[in-house]
Amino acid sequence: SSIGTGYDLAASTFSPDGRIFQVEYAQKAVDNAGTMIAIRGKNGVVVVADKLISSKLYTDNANPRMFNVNDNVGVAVAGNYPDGFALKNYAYGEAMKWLKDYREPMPIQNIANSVAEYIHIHTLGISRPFGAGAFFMSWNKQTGGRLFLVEPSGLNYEYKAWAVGKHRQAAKAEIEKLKIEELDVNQLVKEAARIIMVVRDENKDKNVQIEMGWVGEQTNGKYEEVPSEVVTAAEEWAIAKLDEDDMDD
Amino acid sequence: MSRGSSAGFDRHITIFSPEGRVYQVEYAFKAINSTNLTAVAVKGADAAVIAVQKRVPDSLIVADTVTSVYQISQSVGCCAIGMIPDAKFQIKRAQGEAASWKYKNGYDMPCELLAKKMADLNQYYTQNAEMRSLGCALLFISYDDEKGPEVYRVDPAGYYRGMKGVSVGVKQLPATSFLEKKIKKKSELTSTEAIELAIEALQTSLGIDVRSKDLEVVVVTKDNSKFTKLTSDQVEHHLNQIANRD
Repeated sequence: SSIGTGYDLAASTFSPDGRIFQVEYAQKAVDNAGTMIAIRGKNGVVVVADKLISSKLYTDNANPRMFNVNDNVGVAVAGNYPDGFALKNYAYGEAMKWLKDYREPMPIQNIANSVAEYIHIHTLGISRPFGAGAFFMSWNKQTGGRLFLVEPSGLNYEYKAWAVGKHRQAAKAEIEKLKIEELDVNQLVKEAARIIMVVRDENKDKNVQIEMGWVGEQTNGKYEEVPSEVVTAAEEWAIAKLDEDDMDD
Repeated sequence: MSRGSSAGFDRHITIFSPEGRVYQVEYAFKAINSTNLTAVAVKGADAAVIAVQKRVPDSLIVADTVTSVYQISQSVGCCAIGMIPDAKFQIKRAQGEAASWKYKNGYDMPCELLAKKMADLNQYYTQNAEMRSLGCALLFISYDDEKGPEVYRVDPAGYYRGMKGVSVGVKQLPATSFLEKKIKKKSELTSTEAIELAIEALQTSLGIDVRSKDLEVVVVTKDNSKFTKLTSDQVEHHLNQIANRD
């Protein structure tokens, strides 16, 4: 359709109907990557990614997609890995600058806005847009859980829950079946693992691994990687639950 | 659009076509409609109003974070319609310009100067290859100490004008002709009349009954020159007034 027309060769070029194909293609890099889900529950936020393990020789969790921006804010990057890594580094740098200037941790809204602005500048021309998106999540007593997603276009909204990547549509449909506001973090971890597993394409998605991060009341407002025992337990629960559902059918 | 005559002349922002058109800027205007929203601004005798559609793209998005109206300074409000990241970028620039102007001069930047500044920037983007034009249109309102209420429109071509009533977005043509008709009959509007005219223009151009949750209304008045967003109850009240009048 748009390929070969010449309107899709630079982020600085509008197509005749006012679209910027380079940015849409960058979004595809996220859309075609492994599924990532983030859910805001009763007392925290949980993020789960389905990762393709391309070699058996990798050490455990060799390519993490989830990081701390500061103690209280976590970032999870989806899409092109090096681009996501660059975004995480930028967010970390901005949070450091904020801490140095104001002597207090950078609030999540400011982090998301700042990263969104940085991404947006890459959609104006000269440089290539980012082929990655980033979830930001935090929890504290005053604001409760907060979840933001910044997309390759620079779009930045706050969400109750969201899914990106290959099986995002199916994952979103599964999320909508849950009463997420009533689930605590421990239940969310299980449900999120179940959703990731249920939306997987059994024939195509092989050598995959689940990575999880959380922030909430039980982590005292600190963003942390979910301990591997908890992830394993959630996976076991999810498998049992899926088998149970299969029996019912 | 005739693709034959424009072959190759529309791939780059900095060049003219043989007919003297700069296509990339025309395409930037098209991008304004990409979010499928319409905004209306009206200048009354002692108030300026912006009424704009609000659409939350998905129920999983926190509705409070979706908006097209922003406060630029104490007295200037702005509505940005078009590609959302571009709009936010321009809003931030406008806020920065207004703040540094106030820092230098000690009082709030007049609305006209701000509109002119943003238009100048937009013109620059049409002529230089370093950056594309921004796919968004801006409406500014303010209550000026000397000039009273003001409404300005700024577009990606770098054009700016003060208006009595104006609309941008998908339904700008029907909304504008509605405003022309009404303002021709009566141009000295009270603040209530201005608010209701803006909402009515939006409603008529969209051809649907707008509900208060699909609408954002901001005003600046003589009594309160601070940029104020109407609450959903206030918007509801005005919607009822309009419905009862018909």
